[in-house]
This record gives sequence, C-alpha cells and structure tokens, in this order.
Amino acid sequence: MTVLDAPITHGRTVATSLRASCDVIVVGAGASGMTVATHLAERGRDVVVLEEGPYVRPDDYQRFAPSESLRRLFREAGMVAALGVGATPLITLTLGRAVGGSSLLTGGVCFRIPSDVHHHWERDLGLSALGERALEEAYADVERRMSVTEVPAKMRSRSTNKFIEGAAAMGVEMKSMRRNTGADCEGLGRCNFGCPVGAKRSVDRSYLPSALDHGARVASDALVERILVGSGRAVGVAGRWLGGKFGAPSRGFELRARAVVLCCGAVHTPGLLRRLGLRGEAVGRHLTLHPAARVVARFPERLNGWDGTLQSVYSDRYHDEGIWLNGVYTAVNVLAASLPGVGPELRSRVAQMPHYGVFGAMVHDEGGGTVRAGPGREPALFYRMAPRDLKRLRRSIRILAEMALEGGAEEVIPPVFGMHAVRSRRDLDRLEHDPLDPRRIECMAFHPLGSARMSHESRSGVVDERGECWELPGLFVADGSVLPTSVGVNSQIPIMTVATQLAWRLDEVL
Amino acid sequence: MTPSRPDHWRDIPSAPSWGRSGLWPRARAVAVAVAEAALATHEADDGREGAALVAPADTWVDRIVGDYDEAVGHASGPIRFGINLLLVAFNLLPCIMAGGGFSPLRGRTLAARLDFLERVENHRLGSVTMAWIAIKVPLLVSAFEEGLALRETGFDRPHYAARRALPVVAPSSTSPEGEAPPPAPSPEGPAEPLPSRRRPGTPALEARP
Repeated sequence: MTVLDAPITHGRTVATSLRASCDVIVVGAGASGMTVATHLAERGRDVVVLEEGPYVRPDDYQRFAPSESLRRLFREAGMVAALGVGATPLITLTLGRAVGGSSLLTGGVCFRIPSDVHHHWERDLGLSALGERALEEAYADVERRMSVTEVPAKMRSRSTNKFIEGAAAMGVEMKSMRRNTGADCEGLGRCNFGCPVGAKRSVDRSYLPSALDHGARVASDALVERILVGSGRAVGVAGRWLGGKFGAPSRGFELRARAVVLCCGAVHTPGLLRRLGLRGEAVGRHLTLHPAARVVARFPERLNGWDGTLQSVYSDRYHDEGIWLNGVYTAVNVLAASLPGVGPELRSRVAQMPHYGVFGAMVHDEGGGTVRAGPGREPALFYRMAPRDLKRLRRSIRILAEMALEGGAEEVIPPVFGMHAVRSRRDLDRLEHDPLDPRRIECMAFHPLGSARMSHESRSGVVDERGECWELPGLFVADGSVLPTSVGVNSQIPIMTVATQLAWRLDEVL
Repeated sequence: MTPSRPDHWRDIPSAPSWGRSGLWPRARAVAVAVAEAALATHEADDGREGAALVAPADTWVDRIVGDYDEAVGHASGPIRFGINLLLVAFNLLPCIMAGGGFSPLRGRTLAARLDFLERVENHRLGSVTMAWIAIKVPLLVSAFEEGLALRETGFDRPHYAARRALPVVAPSSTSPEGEAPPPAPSPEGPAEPLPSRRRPGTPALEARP
C-alpha cells in the first residue's frame, strides 16, 4: 500500500515524496474541514484531507491526563496567545492541532447564531447565503449528526447551581445549554481535554467515520505550504510531511485537484492566502475572538465542581450589552495552576479546591485582531481591544462576581492579577470602575473568526457567497474565517453549518 | 490514483508521538528554581507565622519540569525560543528590579525566591505580571495532576481519565465534612444514579470508597 492509498496516513512515517491528484483537497481536519470532506465524499467525490497535526485515536486521547492533551492535541501545547496592542490584555487562545481540530477541545456547547446577527449579515451586509432561513437545512443536518441535546438539569454541577442561585437573586434567568453529547454525558467535567467516555461528538467521531467509509483519505502531519496556481485558478497544493527522525530531510508532496478548500481556521487560513500573494485588504484582518473571562469563587460548603457537566447553562440576559454568560468549569490541575498566589498561599488555595465554583462570560467583540506572518511557520496574532469591548469585559467580570456573592460565596477571586479578593458590593464597584492596567486581566479566547470574511462584493471581503476567493477561482475557504462578524456565542455549530452549506454549493459546481 | 479503501480503518493506530526536550539547560534550571519556590509550603500546615519553609520533593519538581520541557518541545521554534529567553531573562529580573538585590533568582534562598515571586505577581506594572503568568501557568499545569498532589486538590477520582464515583444508594442529607457531597439538587427531583455505559477501552465505573 502506498502513501494515500490508506484511509489515514501518518505523515511522520512517510519516507517518500508524493505527487497525486483527486477531486477536492481539503486543508485542515477540524470542525469545518471534516464537515466539508464528509459531505463531498458522501456525494461520491474523491477527497483528500491534509492535516498539520497528528491523528490520535479516541480511545488513546480519552486516557490522556490534561497536560498530555495539551502537548499532543493543542496547538503550541496550549501556549498560543494574541499579543495585546495598546490597552489590551494578553489573550490566550485555545486551538486544536490534530485530526478533529478544536472540536476535540470544546466544551461541546452548541448554539445557533443569534437572529439579530443573521439579520445584520443578510440586511446590512447583503449576504443572503448567511440568512437564518437559508441555513436552516444545514443547521438541522449538523445538529442531527452531532446529536445535539439539551443538558438535563440533573447534570448541572453544584458549582453551576450556586451561580444559578446567585443569578436568580439578581433577576437573571439561566437556561439549559444544548451540547453535542446526546444522552451519553456522565458529567466528568473535562470535555476540553478529551471526553474520557467518548460522549462528546467531536468531528473525529461524528463525521470522520462516514468520510472514510465513503472513500475520503486523511493525511496527518502534512503541512501545506503553498497553493498551486495554473491558468489563473487554484489547481492544487504543495507542502511537506512533518517530523520523522530529528534532523532528517523532510519529504514533500504535491497534490492537484479541481478545487482546494482551506479549512485551517481563522488564525492559519490568512497565512496561506497571504503567501499566495492575495492583495485584498481584508486578508488577515477583522479577526474577532470573543474575549472571555471567568471568576472563581469560594463557597462555605464543598461543591466538588468537577462532578457535573462542564458547561450546562447560559444566560442571554446581557446580550444587548454584548455579554453572554456561560456556565463552565475546568480540569482541577489547570484551575490550580491559574489560582493567584505562590508557595504556601497557592498550596492553601489548592487545598480549598472542593469549595470553589467557577462561572464564565464572553464578549461579542468588534474585531480588533490581525494575523500577520510570524518569524517561523506559525502566524503572529495581534489584538487591539476596542474601548467598548474592554468596558464589556470589566462589566462581565462584575456581573459574574455579583452572581457569586448573591449565591453565597465568601470571596470571589477576580481574573485580575494582583487584585484582592472581592467580598462586598463596594468591592464590586471598584472591580468595574477603578483605574486598571488591562494587561492585568486574565483573558481567554476560544472562537477566532472573520479573518477572511465573506462579502457580496470583492472590495470588502476575501470570498464570495459560495466561499470562493474573489481573487483566485478554484480556491475556497469554508472555516470560521469567512464569518463576517463576531457571532457572540460559541462558534462550533455556526462554523459547521456554514461549512455544510458551502460544501453543498461546491458539489453543485464541481 | 485509485485508493484501496480498506474497511478496517478503525484499527489504524495513533500517530507516533515525539518526546522532545524544548528547554535550554540554563532555562530548565530556572524552571526548577521557580517551581521549587512556587510550590513551597510551610513545615507545619497550621498557618503559624515563622514556620519553616519547605521545598517540594525533588521527584515532584522533576516531573513537573519534565512535563513542561516536553510541552515546550511540542511548540514551534519561535515559541520555544521565546520561552527560553523569557526564563533566562526572568532569572536576571531580581537584579534590575527595585529592591531586588544583585543576585539572580537561581542564586537565592527558597524564601528569597518566594518573596520575589510574590512581588512579581502583584507588581504594579501589568507587563511584569504578565511575563510571570506566562511562566507560571504552563509550568504548574501538571503539578496537581496525579498521585498525592492530585489528592491535595480534593479531587475524588483516582486519576483524570477515571469515571465519576457515583452513589449506589441515595446518600443521607447530612454529609460529613471530608466526604463528597450528594449529587446536585435538581428541580426535577432527586438525581438518579447514572447508568453504566462501559465502552471498550474505557475503565470500569469506580466504586465510591
């Protein structure tokens, strides 16, 4: 059997160069890439998926400790950050780098794009393909394959219930989330490091099997470095197999196809487009991140917050203010590492871990991110937080802290380094309004979007409504980078829905 | 090209992993010095003023720094370079910080290292704190992940891939301190024990001790 005859090829074990052809090349095996590949393979297309990260079997990664997941499944071993420009916190980003991509690392949360965002895209930006009704069939298909189900109230953790009580005292209603776990979630509270029982339908479980059964081939550890162009259109890709023996020369590959679909995510797709020489102003710009914060609060009773679904409730009460509240927890060792203090103070806090509750919020941001070529093969990511978004972030931290206090917390550890614990309403006001160096805020982001956005005319975007590059026919983009603005909610279902729609359209024109 | 399309793709093993060291020897030594101070504790856990400071066990620190070293090894070249440079610079930071004295971090006693880390964590300049956090969190992420350190967090499963300990019978309403609490109260009524859904390759449901 030669390279790419097998359904899955590990690039690290390939010792030869390769030239081959197929109908469609999909670059990236994350949520969008596997969605596109599966639909096209099911329609009889000869599809090859090239993924920079490794293929790790579910029954292997299910046994990983969180730090091993970080090393083997996360890009940069979990150390990706957007460099803050101006009054902006350092924002750490969670990105997957494996077959399955970031879908291996999500909390499994499934939201549709809010109606007002759909309406903005359709009415103000002229993108009828992204209208709510236009995407209804694709939404339904994704949700069926992903076994999207509402989290039953009995699966909520005691940590989450404490914040629900606090929110109720503030008149804020919490709603049950929908997640892609069917009825199989056992509430082990570590979805973002790989579900130990395989309940979460990451795309390696929900799409990959069908893609392979229909003849798609996946090559892991395969780095695509450039797009091949012939007669004014994209005709293939070239790159190299990663790894092998340290110091050994890497072998290259060159694949040709009728269409090339980039699904590398909003951080990496712009790099390939720029290397191609695309001149569009929008390439690599307008990146939105959904900056997020969480508070950790100590309650008098033991909560064992790790027992229960990682994310089970949300509130859209502050949606008009650009804030979305999401219940969340995280692996205990990761939480311990990020607690304030060192030495005896840290150890003392760690010993109180069963008493800690956690809740999070994220901001529907304006899009102050830019992706540029980095010093190596990874791009450099810059983010200038709009003053409006910084206010939103601080307001969201205040809301979370207030929920915790109303829920009976003895103290709240705000995500602000060096700030004292919050214990009273007066502390809350200080938290929101006192002068603060934004770089002290512990900020995370999970949903990079919009760096190669879709537009109805070539000047303002990178791709048209079919996902095809305005500047290069035959080259399609079908990942989160085409979404024209932030969506304000977890982006996995939105990305996969748009990818489904684009795959169907692509099949029609192939 | 005509692929052979075997049906047995489910038997294909995971890609091999490469355990590669990412830290320069000098940077690794700084990581050890930092981990020792960041995880130091008092001799007696009674919060007494003046209790002697005790460094964590060497084996624990070696494991943590080893995991960190491998994590850095999995990152790209620029990130590896940046982290190594950051660690080396961090070692020299006490020499240039006001009131820091003239000896680098590695040359300091455990108490002096701890004092320095506390000052850096609460420093008025956000960028100083940010640099420290960029070291602290990735370094300590595996600290409380297994064995006794995991138990120190109160986590009541033997390891992270273990399934949840579920009560076989409904627990009484008064749970003595130190035991895991009863399941979350539910507006739908008492929580039911979850059914066992053992799949091939997953560990069996642990019994509550």
